[in-house]
Amino acid sequence: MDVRDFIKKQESALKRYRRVYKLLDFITILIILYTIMVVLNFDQVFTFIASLEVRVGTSYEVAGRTIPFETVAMLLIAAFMSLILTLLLHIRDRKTAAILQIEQKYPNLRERLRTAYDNSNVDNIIVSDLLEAVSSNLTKVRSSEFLRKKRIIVSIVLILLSVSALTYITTNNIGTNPDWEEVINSIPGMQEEDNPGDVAVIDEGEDGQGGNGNEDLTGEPTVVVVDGEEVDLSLPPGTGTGFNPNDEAEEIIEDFENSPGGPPTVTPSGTYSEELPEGYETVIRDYFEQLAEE
Amino acid sequence: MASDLNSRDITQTYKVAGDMFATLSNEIGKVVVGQKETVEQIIIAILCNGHALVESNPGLGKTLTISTISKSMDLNFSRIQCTPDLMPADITGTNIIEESDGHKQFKFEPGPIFANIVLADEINRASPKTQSALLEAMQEKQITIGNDTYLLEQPFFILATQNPIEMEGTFPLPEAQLDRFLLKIIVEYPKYEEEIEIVDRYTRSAMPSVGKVLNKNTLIDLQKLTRDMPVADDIRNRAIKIVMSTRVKNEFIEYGASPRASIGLILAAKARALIQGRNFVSNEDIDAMAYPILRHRMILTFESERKGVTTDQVIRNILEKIK
Repeated sequence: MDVRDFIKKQESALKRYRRVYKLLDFITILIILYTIMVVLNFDQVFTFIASLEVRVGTSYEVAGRTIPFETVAMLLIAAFMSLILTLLLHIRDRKTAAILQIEQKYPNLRERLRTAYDNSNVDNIIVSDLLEAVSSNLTKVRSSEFLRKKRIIVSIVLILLSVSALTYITTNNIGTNPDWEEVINSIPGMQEEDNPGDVAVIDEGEDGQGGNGNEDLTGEPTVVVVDGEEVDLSLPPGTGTGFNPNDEAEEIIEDFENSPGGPPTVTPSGTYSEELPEGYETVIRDYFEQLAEE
Repeated sequence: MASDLNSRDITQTYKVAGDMFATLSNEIGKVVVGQKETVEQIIIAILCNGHALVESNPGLGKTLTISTISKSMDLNFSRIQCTPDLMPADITGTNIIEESDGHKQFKFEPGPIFANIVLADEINRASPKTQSALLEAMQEKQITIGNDTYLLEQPFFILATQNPIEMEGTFPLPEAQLDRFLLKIIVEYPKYEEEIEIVDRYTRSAMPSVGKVLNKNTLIDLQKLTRDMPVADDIRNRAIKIVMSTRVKNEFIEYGASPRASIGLILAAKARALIQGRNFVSNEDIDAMAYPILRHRMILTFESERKGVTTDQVIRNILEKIK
């Protein structure tokens, strides 16, 4: 048996196993994250995000079933996060761990297998002896022994538990209702959506007024000469300091007063009646006649 | 044909290598009590075709161990007792005037360096000039006298001893020369049971003797097998990392080991694997050989010497870090 071919086969088998572990981890994390999102009513978050708000309430037809946008979005977010977490979990997986795993499983091959593998192209009596001994030992090695069955079982159990939990939560409508608006507002940068970028926000002082009013924003008086006459172009104090959005808010009447109720009466509709001064009728008629002739 | 014969010989040597080392160890054990590690390390130096510096306090059997190992191998052995007045020519040999048929001519008279195993006893007592005479022999395995260069017979090893406590009238070996020793072997005091055995064995009327169990050709085959010993890439890389980490200046290390140490460490680990009857180098071999390979190639800082930190402690620390 060629040691290099054997290790190659084992490595491809281990690669397949690693893919299975990754897939199981991905599914487990995805379901757990999605369940957490459902419990936390994460779908409410989309109503606070301007770009997604318009899609809230819409749904997609997938294989004859209607899936709300919120479900699709939550699944996509959970899948993305699960992908990152799975990659982080497996980032330290050794690419060529076959030799190491075989040596751990079979102590009589420890250090011998890697030596035989590294020196398989060397031709001398000691290497030949080593290759012969290692090859005979490798016949007992089965790649299925490196499949971590316990890990697979644990992953499957976790998936089943998560699915059960998700089903129970969705059917019984269990969930908390955190104040997502507050959470979103606490995220730096998310508040900016309330303040469009084209509006200058004045840094208010402690008294709530824009600045302390003492800044010399206008500078030296500007004078231009027009037809030999000097004109002062100085800006009046307060110019250029922007405006306070609160000024507009003050004009908004938030309290409405009920109009006093009265007896129902018939009210004529306002009709338009053109009342031209006397003597103009002939003038106007003549005008239109001449216009028609031309 | 010659190649086939050689191949068959080496195959045969490889098959019996384990038994051969066991026999050699038993034979040496007839004379030398305990000191298995010292004996093993000296044999490793011989298998690597390298030189060894054996250091211990007086009376621990350094010279006896080396001469016993030499006697157990069918090799030419010579001993140089180093003293301050020893001259280079006393080691390398010299040209003498010889008269034959009425004609006088110079004839080269080889010195004790022309042997397979040379025991340079108390090497640090020789003057620097004499010590440096050994440099060419150690590195190039040749001797130059005047305009003539003489190749030394293979295999050639210098097994030197030195005493670390008597520093008066000694000339510490320069770093360049220390680096040429593959191993620096420290001989420890024997254990209680071993000392009883030593006393019993050396107070009888019949003194123990040793027989020859290895001949020159077998030894050359074993040296070739040592170099053929396979080593895994990650074990080799770890050995290099160990050596390189001695070059990182820190609280304890002033100067680290050279790439010669990396070569030596891998080679010594290969020889140890062969002696242990394995057909691959293990991390265990690297750990075991790191001490004799590195201890004379590192210079510790004044601070570590003040704290009483030894090179072996620093090496242990490095080995623990680089697993």
